[in-house]
Amino acid sequence: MEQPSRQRVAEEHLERAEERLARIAFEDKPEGPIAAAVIAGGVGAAALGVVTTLAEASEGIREWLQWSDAVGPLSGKVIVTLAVWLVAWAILHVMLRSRPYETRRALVVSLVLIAVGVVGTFPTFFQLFGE
Amino acid sequence: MEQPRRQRVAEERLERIAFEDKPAGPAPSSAAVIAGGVGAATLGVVTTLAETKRMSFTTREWWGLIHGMGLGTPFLLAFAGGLAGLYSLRPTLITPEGVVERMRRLKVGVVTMAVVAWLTVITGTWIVYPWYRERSPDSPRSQLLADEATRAWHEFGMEWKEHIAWISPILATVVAFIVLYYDTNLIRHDQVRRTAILLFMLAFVFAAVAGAFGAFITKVAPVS
Repeated sequence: MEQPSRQRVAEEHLERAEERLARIAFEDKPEGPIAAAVIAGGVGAAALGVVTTLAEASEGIREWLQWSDAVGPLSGKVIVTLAVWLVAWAILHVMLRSRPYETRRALVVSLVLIAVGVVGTFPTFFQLFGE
Repeated sequence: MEQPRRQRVAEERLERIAFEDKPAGPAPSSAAVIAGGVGAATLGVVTTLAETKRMSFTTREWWGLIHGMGLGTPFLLAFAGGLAGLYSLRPTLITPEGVVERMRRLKVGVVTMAVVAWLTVITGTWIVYPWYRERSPDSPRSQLLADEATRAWHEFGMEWKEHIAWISPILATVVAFIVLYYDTNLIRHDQVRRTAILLFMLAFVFAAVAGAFGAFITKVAPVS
């Protein structure tokens, strides 16, 4: 018996997948809220990096961030970070909720912001600003 | 769909799955059963030893265990389940009947990972960390800083761990939101699914960095 070509097998596979996809119940929604959440995640990470570096650079900021004596400046750093993240998420959600905003663009923005967060929280980097 | 028809469809699918039949001999199944028994017996022996030898932990050690192992284990399981769920959420790998069950599992996986990540950073920062950084000369931080050979564990390891860990629950929450918001739509939006996978993996990597330094530092200067 003649074997079907690879291309034919791939086409059949794709046809079956499309047929299945058509049978899956769904309610399509705009991509905006997802883009808002993705960018806000990056904003949160970047905020942590910036606050961590600022706390190292300035004694005054470090003392201001010491909201708990037991935890030290880390308490203020994480609370400020969470506040910035949640406020940014709320604002971006309102701005983008009904828009078909492209997730790829949001991901690129978010990855840059996450990189800022990672660099800002890397000891070798933020200790350069130590007083 | 009627039950007999559903069964016929399932049988048809089963016939299309390539497989190599293996002898149903006793050896592999016996090995699995014996291994299970060995595991249970080990637990019994350890529990008995703990009782008879008065093995115990201090409150601080218990919290260290809860923060590291108690929450770390479900975090790893939830990550594995969530990643497998996100990866296989593709039309070529899933049936309309299977997607409902798959989505339920995926939601449990990503939400569990986000919740556990939050619990880990909260217990770490507000319960264990204050004991680590106490001003007394025998606190782990003081011990590490007192010796030139161990200073870097605090100045690099702990400093990085205590900060980067907080990025993990933020990203895990973003992924949980994506899955809950899009539900079965996720199977149609490949770019969104890939975005979720990338952020999920980043959340895991940041937690892994923090977890690894936590384990190393506990080895050098435990909170006790």
